[in-house]
Amino acid sequence: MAAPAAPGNAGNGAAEEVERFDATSMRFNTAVIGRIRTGAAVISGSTAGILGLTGLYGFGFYFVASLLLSLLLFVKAKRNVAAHFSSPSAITTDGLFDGLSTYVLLWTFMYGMVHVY
Amino acid sequence: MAPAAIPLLLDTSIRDWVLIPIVIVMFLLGIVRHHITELLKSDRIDDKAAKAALDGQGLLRARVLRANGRFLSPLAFQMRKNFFTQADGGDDSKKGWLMQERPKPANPMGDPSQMMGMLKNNMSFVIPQMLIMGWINYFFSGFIATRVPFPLTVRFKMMLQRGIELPTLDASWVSSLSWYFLAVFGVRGLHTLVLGEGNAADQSMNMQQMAGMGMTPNPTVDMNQVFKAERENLDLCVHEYALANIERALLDTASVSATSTTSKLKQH
Repeated sequence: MAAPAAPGNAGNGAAEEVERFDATSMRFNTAVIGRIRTGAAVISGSTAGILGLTGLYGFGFYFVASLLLSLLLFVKAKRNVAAHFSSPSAITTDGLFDGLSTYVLLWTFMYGMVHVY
Repeated sequence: MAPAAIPLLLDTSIRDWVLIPIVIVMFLLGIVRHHITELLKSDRIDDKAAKAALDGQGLLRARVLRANGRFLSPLAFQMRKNFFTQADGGDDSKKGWLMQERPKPANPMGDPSQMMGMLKNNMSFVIPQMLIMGWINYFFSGFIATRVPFPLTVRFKMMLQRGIELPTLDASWVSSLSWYFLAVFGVRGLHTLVLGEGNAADQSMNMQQMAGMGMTPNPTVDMNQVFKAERENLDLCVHEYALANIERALLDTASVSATSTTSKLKQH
């Protein structure tokens, strides 16, 4: 264990700094990301269905919407993802494929409502 | 953009009486299952679970002591260490917390009541699904329900258009059963939104969550082994008091801030 750096020489203390994190907060953050992703999947799925996107355009729309959401999350995290998540890719990849099934359901539903019937 | 779609007119009653009801039923089924599980759960908080939580939290405390003990004074650290690892003392209650014997875990396969619990859990998941599939098969088979907005290969026809013998029909027109499957996977996310994370609406998701928790120890793990490992770690932990020279360090900062920045630069 590295001793906390003396105030005079903070420079070399940073290298020995041990990474600490709170497991409860991290789980909470991941859960929040999952909820946001699902909510976004519901909205983007309905949008894609109403617009009548088909095939690859629809799947592409999901990933574009997710990317946009990731950007917004990045801004929300004050551009410091490492402060809230253990891996830097957490805000882009977490729950991406859980959201996809919800997206497909809403997409098909809205597409059916608007364009089939 | 889209492959030239054959205009196929579907009866709007199919939408009102098949498409929408299936989604609503799937959604409500999850909510009902969640609340039933919650109701049953309140009875199941037993002595065993409480003991397991106690063990887990104690272990966590030992780990925290190991990680951050250097901020404690030597005496305080030694007292805490003794609390965990004291060897002598004769009777069990005076022994260190990590030295006390824990009961051996029962083999989950050998315990019939636990087996029944697992079986019941599985049944509560499988039976409603089977009932709903039967319901859909019985009432809503033999016609097209909707069209999925993405192309599917001909292989899917057999599975998704069962009961519709139209060889030229595009595979993306699907029957109500495939709409049911879409709903099964899709409502999972909606349940997360409505009931919160870790709800009991969907068993498979619950399992994943359990595995990811790690706070409550797995009941099949022999806690004696875990405690032994932690005890050895704690014994090996050398206490280095981080704040031993704190007064001097404080005075140093005071003198540094008192002198001008130029002299500080010279020092370095």
